[in-house]
Amino acid sequence: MFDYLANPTRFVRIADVLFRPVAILATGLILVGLYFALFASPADYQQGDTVRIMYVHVPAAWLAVLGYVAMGVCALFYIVWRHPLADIALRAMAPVGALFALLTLVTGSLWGKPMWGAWWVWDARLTSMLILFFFYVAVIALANGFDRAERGSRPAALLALVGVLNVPIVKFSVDWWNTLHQPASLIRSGGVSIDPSMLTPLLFMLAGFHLYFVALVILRMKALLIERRITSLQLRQARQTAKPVHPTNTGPNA
Amino acid sequence: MNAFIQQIQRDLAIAWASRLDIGVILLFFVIIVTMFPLAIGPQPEILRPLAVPLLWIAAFLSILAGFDRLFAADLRDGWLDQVALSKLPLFAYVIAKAVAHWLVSGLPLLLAVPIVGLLLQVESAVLPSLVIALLIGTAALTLLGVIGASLASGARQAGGLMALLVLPLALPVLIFGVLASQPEAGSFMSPHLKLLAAVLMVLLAIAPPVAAAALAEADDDGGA
Repeated sequence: MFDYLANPTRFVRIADVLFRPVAILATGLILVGLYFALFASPADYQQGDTVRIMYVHVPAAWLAVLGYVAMGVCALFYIVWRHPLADIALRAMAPVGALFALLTLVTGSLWGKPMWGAWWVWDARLTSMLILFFFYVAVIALANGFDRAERGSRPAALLALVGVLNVPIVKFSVDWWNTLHQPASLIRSGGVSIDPSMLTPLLFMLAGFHLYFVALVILRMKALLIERRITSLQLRQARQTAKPVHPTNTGPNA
Repeated sequence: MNAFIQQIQRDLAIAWASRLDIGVILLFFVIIVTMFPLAIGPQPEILRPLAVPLLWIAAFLSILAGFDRLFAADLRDGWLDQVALSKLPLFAYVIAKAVAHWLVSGLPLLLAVPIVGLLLQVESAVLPSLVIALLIGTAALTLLGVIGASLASGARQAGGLMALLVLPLALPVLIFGVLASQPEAGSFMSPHLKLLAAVLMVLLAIAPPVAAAALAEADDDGGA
């Protein structure tokens, strides 16, 4: 299957088929989720209406972590098998994941001010999420830090793989350290601990955010593939039109 | 093993030939430390609780400052190609580079800490645990610097990019290092020191293969 997808033209064809339904479904799920989140769900008995921030915060945090894991898998594929599409996928995911990490930090901060009385606290979960964001930024900077774009692929993949070490720290920080941030309530031993009235909008938003992530990544992968093709066509054109500087200098096109 | 020792000797010989550079890093460290009392204020009661964290930050920055050229000369003058052709595996070359670099930049810094600490009113009771924690911490940071320098070698902004890569990775070292420098009952083997040592072990396992893979790519690209 991975060999089958290795052909970029074939990938673009499949991506074209996939993109529209995924994008429409994502929009629909998020709209339904937002309706439940903003109108059809109760306010929290302690937090009041600020609890509604959670319906964006939790899916964003989820995708920030899951996006990094997906990026790490791509990095592994690129390092071990040099799969060309894995590099494209890694480059496509990094900014999207960074966006979700930033969204998590911003929404958490907006929630923290009324609830904890501070925009930011140096809590284990907040700090590890901030570090995750730094890793995303570092991967993006490294992937694009070289004169020849492809030269950054392997260093960026290696860094992404090293950064995977941070993921379990983000996930389990609330269990390992006694933190201000509340512990896990969806995936935990003992079952879900959220009331169904609040679970419904959360699940809609979660599903919607997942598909939104997929749609964005497909779109970015397509754009990156087209960008590469343009660059290689431009290079070829430049080589064909360039005249040798010295008549005696016999280059490949002389 | 022989080639490994020779690689270290070569790096040390090169460092000795330009031994003034060692002094530059050391002076950089002293100047950073000097800046804190000037910025925070000279009162001993304010400085004393901050002394250990400030020394750690200063040590971090001065060690990082010496890293961006670590592999550049070897890539440029073809030494890395020779290593690739020799019996010395690339990951052993990376470890040799790290050892030599630590001897040149980490060790002098460590020797300077008891004296520089005086500037920040470090209590003499803290000194042994501080030096031991810094010993492990600078070794861990050297391995991180090796990762950063190899990944960024050949990049447009190699120096800045390296700092961007290394600092997030270095945060566990900083956190556990500062905690291990100030053990509660004055005993060396605090749990934080063990955690710091564990971080060093993890880095010892991942830094050589990661740096070797990155250097192989940089070498393929035709040098920096």
